[in-house]
Amino acid sequence: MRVGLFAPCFVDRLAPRAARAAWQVLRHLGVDVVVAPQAPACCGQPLSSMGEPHRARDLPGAYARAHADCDVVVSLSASCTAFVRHHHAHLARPIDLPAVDRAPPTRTFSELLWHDLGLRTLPGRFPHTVGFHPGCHGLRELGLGPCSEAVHDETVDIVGALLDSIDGLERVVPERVDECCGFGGVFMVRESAVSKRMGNDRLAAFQGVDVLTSTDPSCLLHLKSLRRPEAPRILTLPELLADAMQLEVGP
Amino acid sequence: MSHPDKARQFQQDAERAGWHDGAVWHVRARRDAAAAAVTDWNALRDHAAQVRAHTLSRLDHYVAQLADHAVANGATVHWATDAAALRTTVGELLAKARVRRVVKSKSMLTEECGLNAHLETTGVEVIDTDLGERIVQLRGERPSHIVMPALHLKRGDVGDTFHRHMRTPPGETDPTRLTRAARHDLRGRFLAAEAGITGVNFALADSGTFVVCTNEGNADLGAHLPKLHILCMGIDKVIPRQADLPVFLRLLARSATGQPITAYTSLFKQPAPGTEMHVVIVDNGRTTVLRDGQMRPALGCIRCGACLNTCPVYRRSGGHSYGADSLPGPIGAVLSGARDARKHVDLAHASTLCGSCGAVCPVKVPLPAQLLELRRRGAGADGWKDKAMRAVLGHVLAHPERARWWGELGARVQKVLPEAVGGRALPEVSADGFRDGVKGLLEGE
Repeated sequence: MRVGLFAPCFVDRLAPRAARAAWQVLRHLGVDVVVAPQAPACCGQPLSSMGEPHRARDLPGAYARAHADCDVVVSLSASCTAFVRHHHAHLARPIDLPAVDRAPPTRTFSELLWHDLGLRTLPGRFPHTVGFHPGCHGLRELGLGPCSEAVHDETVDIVGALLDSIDGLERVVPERVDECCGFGGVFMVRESAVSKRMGNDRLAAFQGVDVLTSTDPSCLLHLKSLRRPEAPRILTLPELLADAMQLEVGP
Repeated sequence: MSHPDKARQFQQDAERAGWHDGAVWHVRARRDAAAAAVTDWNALRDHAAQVRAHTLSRLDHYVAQLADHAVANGATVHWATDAAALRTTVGELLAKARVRRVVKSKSMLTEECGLNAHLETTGVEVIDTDLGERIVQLRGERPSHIVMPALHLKRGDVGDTFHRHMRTPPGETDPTRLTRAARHDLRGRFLAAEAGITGVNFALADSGTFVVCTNEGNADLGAHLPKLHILCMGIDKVIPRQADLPVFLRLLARSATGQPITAYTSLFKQPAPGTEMHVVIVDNGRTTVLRDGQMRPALGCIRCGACLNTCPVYRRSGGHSYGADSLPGPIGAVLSGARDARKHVDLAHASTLCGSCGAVCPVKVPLPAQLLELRRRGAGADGWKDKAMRAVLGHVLAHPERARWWGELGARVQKVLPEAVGGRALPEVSADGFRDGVKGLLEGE
């Protein structure tokens, strides 16, 4: 299985360590992982959520063609994954539709581990308390787990299950399990007062845990930017796993 | 002032803002528990969403059917194309009956149409009889929530207001004593009223029946004591069959407050002997939304307020931040934006698009997708900062071949920028990024 590793724009420039960690973890798990050199920098979501999807109309075709020889693409942001999965077909130019239709499926990092690699137990050891913040789009658009307002929702919490399977890891679940952190892309800039308050509230909910992780590095970048001295150490899922597996990923 | 400015003001009292968030969250938690106790909750939602979609697909037919049955039952039906028509119609009905004192139960429609202010200019005294609405009326405020109008106020605020208007002891904060004072004050006004105005929660087309839900019985007193009862409803309140009403009643109260059913659920069908019952059916922009394929499902809203309670932005910005000409919360942003996307573009952006509103909605209004669409429609009305941000980002993100150049520029610019801007640490921009770094890894093998 050939896996294309897609580091979305902000991961590439602002959180490259997450991508290096994902690269190392997947290679260590024996996955044939490649980075498509022709892939666009961005999936197009920021442009869409800012209200100008037409500026992103070339991206679905470019993304699909760049990954045409992969069996599956793993995108390191659940939100970008949701955008590729649910919006690319509507956004693409008509001429790009055949390529978009034929494109390999795009997964989140956790979906790749759970569904494609079939892992139920992750290797390594991580003797820390961990708070897991589910990114909203991964939760509600991709169904990575049950969301708190859904009733009788039997969706499997794959990220929680994967984290719990790591030796030594003790997961701490806050009262508001899936309250939004206030990132929201352009929201963080436009509604900065509310965004900061949401971020600080979210950090307070996880106060006391050793490590905070998320399906979305964007949520974590936002929380990091708030400079709370009492905030837990913040690690993306691939970084956490690389740490557990004692893989060298650099600074 | 746009939403972000009002939200910033709301957040200036950080402690009170935190209290508001907690108080509203508490209502959502009660809704969660009540919904979870119903084994067929998801089937109820599906059924309700289908009934709403069907009704909206032939709304003209059902509204006409409703009116025919209502007239046959002995009610008088009036049609109002817009807010001004509603104000005039009600004003004329009251003038004709020489009414000076009116009691009114909760109705977001009359808020929308500015009825109170209009009637007061004609010398009619209008008393809001819902406790929460009475509190905000005495304070000269607007409701901050669809279901709980005074949700933004603490006991102390209510105590101060009642002290000023009802002579309760200063510093009184006991909810029971305050409520008793309000009841006592309202009772005389009910008895003195010459007309009662109520809203409508549901209107049943197959029997011409109007359903009004309250927790205080105030609508019933207001409808039955005076000789004139005026019901105001939007055209979107119609349900084809009485048989479907229980589905909506079960969803409404649980979604709104976590109660199994509202304390009073009254069905008004015909006027009692010697009394008059008038129904004003209002469009006020609803047919415009009805013609709009993407926005139409929002007309299915049953005004339970669950999307407000779950919205992390509403909880932290308060209902008044959505402006005087909009309902608050995600549904307010969508209904206002559906009428004028450019004017209300700030409301379309008052959301992280976390998706919780869509997931909680009992009639499955696709609020997140609608908010996204309204951002697109309203993009032209943005301020220059937002336009500039989009232009730059659009250029950077859409041209991968230039991403490296921009990354390097970003890393260089960052060296001369302060460590933090606007209370945030700036993230470190990687000059080469992951992709360029990984090329080295590949070549090294």
